[in-house]
Amino acid sequence: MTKKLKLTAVSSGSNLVLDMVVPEFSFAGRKNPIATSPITRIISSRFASLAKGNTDPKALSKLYLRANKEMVIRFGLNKKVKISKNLSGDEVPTLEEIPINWNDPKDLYSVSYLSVLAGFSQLASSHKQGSTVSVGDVNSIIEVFAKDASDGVF
Amino acid sequence: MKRLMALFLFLGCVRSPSDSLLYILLLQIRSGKITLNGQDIKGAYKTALVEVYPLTQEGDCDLGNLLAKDYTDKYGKYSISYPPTGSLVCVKVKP
Repeated sequence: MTKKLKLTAVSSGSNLVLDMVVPEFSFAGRKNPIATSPITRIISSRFASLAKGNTDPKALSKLYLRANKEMVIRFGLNKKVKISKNLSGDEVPTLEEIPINWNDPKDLYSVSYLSVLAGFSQLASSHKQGSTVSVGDVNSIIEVFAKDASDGVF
Repeated sequence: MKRLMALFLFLGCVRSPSDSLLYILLLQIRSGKITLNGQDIKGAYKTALVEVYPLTQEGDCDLGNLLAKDYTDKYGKYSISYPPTGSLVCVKVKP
């Protein structure tokens, strides 16, 4: 089977916006970059849903952790965590805590992460509106996942 | 026309995520600075707008209170500073 990667370019006129909610303390002094991606956008969507109606600013960090770890589990971004019924949130890292080595193609964390992104793109290709996949197609897929993830039910 | 490259891999199959064109939008934040790194191969993100906002109490991006903004350079990198909020911040990356 031919293995092939292609890239979808985002034009300056596209509506694709990536966002990320991140605690400042998580990036202080860190060496590994934090990626802004469709995954962080989905986390943001889940976080916004959890935080809706919140009146305690101090609670935001906990809600963020919950949203973040939920998506780490859902997307299987930490292969070292064994999912079980008794899984504690303390055992699950946040996305920022996962030691992703973007420069190592064999790094399990980066492979997992990029495979998820690849899946989005593949879905966009499968459901493209035109003859070729567009940024709008990709954006639509991400939006679907973001909305679906917002209620925490998969 | 300038083109902004995003991190979407459109692929038939994956052998190795880094063995071909691969663009990753990375935010590296150190000591109050946010650094966007385009990690790839040819060109990376160019002139993508990056904005940093505080969060509202309900966890939304406080779009009326921009903390800082900047653009990625031709290599997809930038450095942006803003007054620490001591809490969560919202980062938006736009074409």
